[in-house]
Amino acid sequence: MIAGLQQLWNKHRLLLIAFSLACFLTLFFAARLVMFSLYWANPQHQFQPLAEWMPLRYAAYSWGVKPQEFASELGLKGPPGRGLTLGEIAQRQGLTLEQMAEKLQEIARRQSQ
Amino acid sequence: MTETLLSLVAEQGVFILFLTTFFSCLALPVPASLLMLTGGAFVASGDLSAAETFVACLLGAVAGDQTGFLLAQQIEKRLSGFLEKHPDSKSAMAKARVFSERWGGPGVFFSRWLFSPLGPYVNFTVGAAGVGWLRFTIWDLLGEITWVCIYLGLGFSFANQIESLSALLGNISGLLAALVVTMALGFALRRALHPPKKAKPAASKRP
Repeated sequence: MIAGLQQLWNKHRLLLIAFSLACFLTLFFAARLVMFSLYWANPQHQFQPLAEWMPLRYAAYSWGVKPQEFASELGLKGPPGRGLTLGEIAQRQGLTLEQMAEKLQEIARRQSQ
Repeated sequence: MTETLLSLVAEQGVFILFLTTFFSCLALPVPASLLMLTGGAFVASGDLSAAETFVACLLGAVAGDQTGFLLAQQIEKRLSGFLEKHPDSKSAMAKARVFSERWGGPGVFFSRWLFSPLGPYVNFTVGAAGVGWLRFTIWDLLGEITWVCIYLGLGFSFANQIESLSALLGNISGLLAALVVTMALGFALRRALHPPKKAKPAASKRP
């Protein structure tokens, strides 16, 4: 086997290096997959926190809350427009993401009662 | 950059998805998987229309693939005179042509969705190796429809976990692509170590 490797190193060096790199990459992705699986198996890590890029409808949907109810809780009038992001609402209404998350939790609690 | 792109999808809509899939099919480092999952999630929440999102993603991907394929065809035409003069490159091109002729169709199909990190390079290879445009386009369309349906569908179904899902899927497709490349290189190494014996010429009949 060592003689074979020696022969490959002498005659096909580039191919051997490429193969070693590809092996390393495969092992790297396999190890990451195991780590991801362990991490996401913990229910605490499946929770998606609010971010500025999220549209209001999307945030409400992912928390299982009606968008209309969330909009009125945030002080918006009328039905929420498509693509209106939490970042824009934060600027307009002077709210932080934490405050919005609290309101969402409140609605979710009310709905579950 | 990802946050900005996600905001742009929310604010500007499907045009951003079109641009993302277009550039990702030309091997540019844009987070196409995450944005497609987001597109699916926004369809679920009512922020985007399902038909527009599907068409934008598919058109972007196919346009990107066509650009890569046609570019490689043009480059090959310009360089063919030069390549023909060098025996090494001539035989390498001949091998690539035979390989593409045999495996080009399924190769294009599976590199759209199952081994998606390899997609742009397959476009360049089969374009340069002379695979016909119609054959490429049919396999490409089928593959891209599969890719778009899987990612939009997963985004739609797991709308509240798109970021973790994107990381997981990105890793799986990276693993599959690396595995295919490892196997191909392993096969090439084996052949280099034990080259196939040439068939003996048939013994000529004596009169």
